[in-house]
Amino acid sequence: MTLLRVAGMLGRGGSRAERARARLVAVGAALATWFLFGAANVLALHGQLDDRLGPIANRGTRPGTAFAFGLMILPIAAFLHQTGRLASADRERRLAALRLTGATPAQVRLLGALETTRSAALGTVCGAIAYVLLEWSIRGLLLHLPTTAAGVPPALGLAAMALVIAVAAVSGLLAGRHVVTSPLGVTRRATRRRPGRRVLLVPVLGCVPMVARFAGLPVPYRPYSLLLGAGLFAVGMMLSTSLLVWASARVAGRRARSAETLLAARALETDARPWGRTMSVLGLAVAIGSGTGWIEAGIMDDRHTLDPFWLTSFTLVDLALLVAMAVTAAALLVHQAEYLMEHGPVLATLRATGVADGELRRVLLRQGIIAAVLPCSVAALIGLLGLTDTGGLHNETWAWWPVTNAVLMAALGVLAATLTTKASQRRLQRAVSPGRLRTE
Amino acid sequence: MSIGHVLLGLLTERPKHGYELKREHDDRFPGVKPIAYGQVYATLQRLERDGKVAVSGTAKEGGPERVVYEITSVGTDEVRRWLAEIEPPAPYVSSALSTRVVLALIVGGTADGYLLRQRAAHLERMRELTARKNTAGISAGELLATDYALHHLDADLRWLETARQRIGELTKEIRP
Amino acid sequence: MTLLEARRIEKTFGRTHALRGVSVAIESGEVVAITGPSGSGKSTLLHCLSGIMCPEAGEVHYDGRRIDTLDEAARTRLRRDAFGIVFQFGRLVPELTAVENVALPLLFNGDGREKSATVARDWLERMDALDVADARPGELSGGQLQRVAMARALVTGPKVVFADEPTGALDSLAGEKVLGLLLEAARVNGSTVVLVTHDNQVAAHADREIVVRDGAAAGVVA
Ligand SMILES: Nc1ncnc2c1ncn2[C@@H]1O[C@H](COP(=O)(O)OP(=O)(O)OP(=O)(O)O)[C@@H](O)[C@H]1O
Ligand SMILES: [Mg+2]
Repeated sequence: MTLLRVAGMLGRGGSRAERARARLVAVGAALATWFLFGAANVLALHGQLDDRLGPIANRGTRPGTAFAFGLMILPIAAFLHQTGRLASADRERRLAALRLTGATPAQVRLLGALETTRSAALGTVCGAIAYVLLEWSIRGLLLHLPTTAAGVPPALGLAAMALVIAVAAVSGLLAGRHVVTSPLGVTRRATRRRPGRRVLLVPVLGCVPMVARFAGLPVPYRPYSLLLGAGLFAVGMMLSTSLLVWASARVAGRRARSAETLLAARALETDARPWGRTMSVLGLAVAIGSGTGWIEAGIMDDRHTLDPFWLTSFTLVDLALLVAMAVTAAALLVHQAEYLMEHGPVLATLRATGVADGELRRVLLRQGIIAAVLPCSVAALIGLLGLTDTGGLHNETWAWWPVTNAVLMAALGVLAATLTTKASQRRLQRAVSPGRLRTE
Repeated sequence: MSIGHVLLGLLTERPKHGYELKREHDDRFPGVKPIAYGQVYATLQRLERDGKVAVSGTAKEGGPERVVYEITSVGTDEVRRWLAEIEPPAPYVSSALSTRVVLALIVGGTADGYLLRQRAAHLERMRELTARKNTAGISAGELLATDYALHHLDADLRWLETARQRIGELTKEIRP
Repeated sequence: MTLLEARRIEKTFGRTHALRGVSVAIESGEVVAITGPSGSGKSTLLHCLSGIMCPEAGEVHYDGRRIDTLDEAARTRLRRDAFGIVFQFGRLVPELTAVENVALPLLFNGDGREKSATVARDWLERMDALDVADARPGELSGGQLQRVAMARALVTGPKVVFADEPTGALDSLAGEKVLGLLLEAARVNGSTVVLVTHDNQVAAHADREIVVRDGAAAGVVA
């Protein structure tokens, strides 16, 4: 197919930034494959294992653990999507030449998606091979188990790989949406849509069964209706995060007293979606983190000690949350790279007119803070509220555990968002160098 | 273009006498050299002979009695025909500037000094004209005439710059 | 009195020798045009004079002080306090309205939001752009963009205004109007103006021309 051949040709002629982006996509895809394989692996285990393996040991907790592994795909999807968007304008500029030669906009978009898909496929295959090799060596060398029985059932493994590649392809197609390619060049859509308000209905709808129960009204189909409500609420809150980010940016922009806050808030307000996307995943991590605080408090209150099973389980959960946060922070980093690339000339001009580097850095930092504070606090609160009725603690002081946990998680979320801006510093330095004054 | 066409054009408004025509000519075309009254008079005589204008009476405003001329239908046709034409886009290849560049190369072997001096002189004139444009109460007619002069000087300057960049080729041609 | 001076400055980018020992001296209150063909080093000279870049050799003096040896922070302060800079394409912050863009330097200086907005509106009025005060840069024409950019450069009352092809993206009438506004405001302010251009009609607005050729001043034409 000619399109594929053209894609291959273009792939070889990419810039340094584009090659970096292709590598990031591959890494994201590899990570996603790892977690999905992990989920499949857990599902494929038989019988009771050593308690020290935590939730993997029990047959009853395995589906839950597999689900948790599956959830880890969310931050990675956010990361993948953000990377796909990075330099999309840059790439499309190159593809604009294709439009001149007569390619249709749809073909150009398809080409962009093909590039992303190719990198993702590469990462998926590498990730799968690495996983299987590692798993075999652990089985054979450490656990002295037979290596013939594959940990990941081939059918499930292939399905997982197909899923990752499909997600990457869809994200690649979506990323092309933001760029309007005409034969003469590329313009980013000037006015970006502000997040719709109708999504707020979803979490409100999700609350209905719970509110009905608290009000003492009869709730049919318990506990499924309650579970459905909780699920709707969680998904709805995640979908509404862009709106939350947008709202806090708007308020911050209105009340800004300093130039840095104003610049940060307005940039956020015009492009709230990418922040919203990543913040929704960060918020989920914060909510789960602060929610587990209740469970932990309940168990400690009950038994005054943590047996190996619970210890491993909680450690695993915390580890998973940390990984999720790190991946989300990486997605933010990628988004900030996009912001810097787009705003390079403008920021370089500000710097030329006497704005100090420290002030520009503060603009980035405040973007992170404005975007993170509200979603992370809301998420921490939800994590606390959602489980209030599982309390009934003997020792009231244990209630401080989840509260501290929630505050900590929220702080960690904000910290993750702000740390990324620290990591963007060198990129900022490059983006505002006097050389950027020449480009247009 | 000739003086005849200009006078015919001015007469299309209303009948005018010779002195009035001279004054209006100088007012309306500020960039152009003022016309001598004798020339106005001679031209009007010629136009009358050709039937393009006719005497319509005399006027006396304080000064001596003056003959007032009006345009005839032949004259009106003539003006319209002329306006329908265009000016030939003359190639001004043999301007004094290019002659000087070539001569400077032949005589002195270099035209760099000349080019810089000429640029300075042109720019000085442009500065004067720009300053005049910025004076308060300037008429629209004068503004237009000044713009015309500015654009022509600008064209000269751009040619001078091109000449500087081509001077190597020219030198080779002149002193192989 | 000489306000701004470059002495035999040199600047290279990789293999490109952009400036090869240019010397210029600019008097206080004067309007100077820096002209020359494309790639001759005009913008680089402007960047060195305004302390955005430092030359590798030679000296740059402003107001009796050597500025090319100052560190980045000190030069930033200088640019903020004493200089105003306008570029060819305005380069306004796309998410901010015109007033907010103009108010930005004042906000960075710590003035309050209301006060800066009032002063910014004032300057937009002087630049004949009050009607677009609440529009975003994406909605403005080239001429309006430049008016706003000039208001932003002038709002802090700079001693020197640097302009790099300020009318480069405009047609000749719009360019003349915008330039007239800039020079008038600079005259009222008592600012010195350094104007980089390759348009002779723009250069004719200046008191004096400095011709740059291949990275060197090809004779200062008074
Ligand atoms: N950051 C940079 N990196 C590499 N080369 C540069 C850089 N800045 C300038 N140059 C080179 O230095 C030379 C002078 O550039 P400069 O931009 O100063 O010219 P200019 O006179 O402003 O040209 P123009 O009229 O086209 O704006 C050019 O050859 C240019 O390619
Ligand atoms: Mg330049």
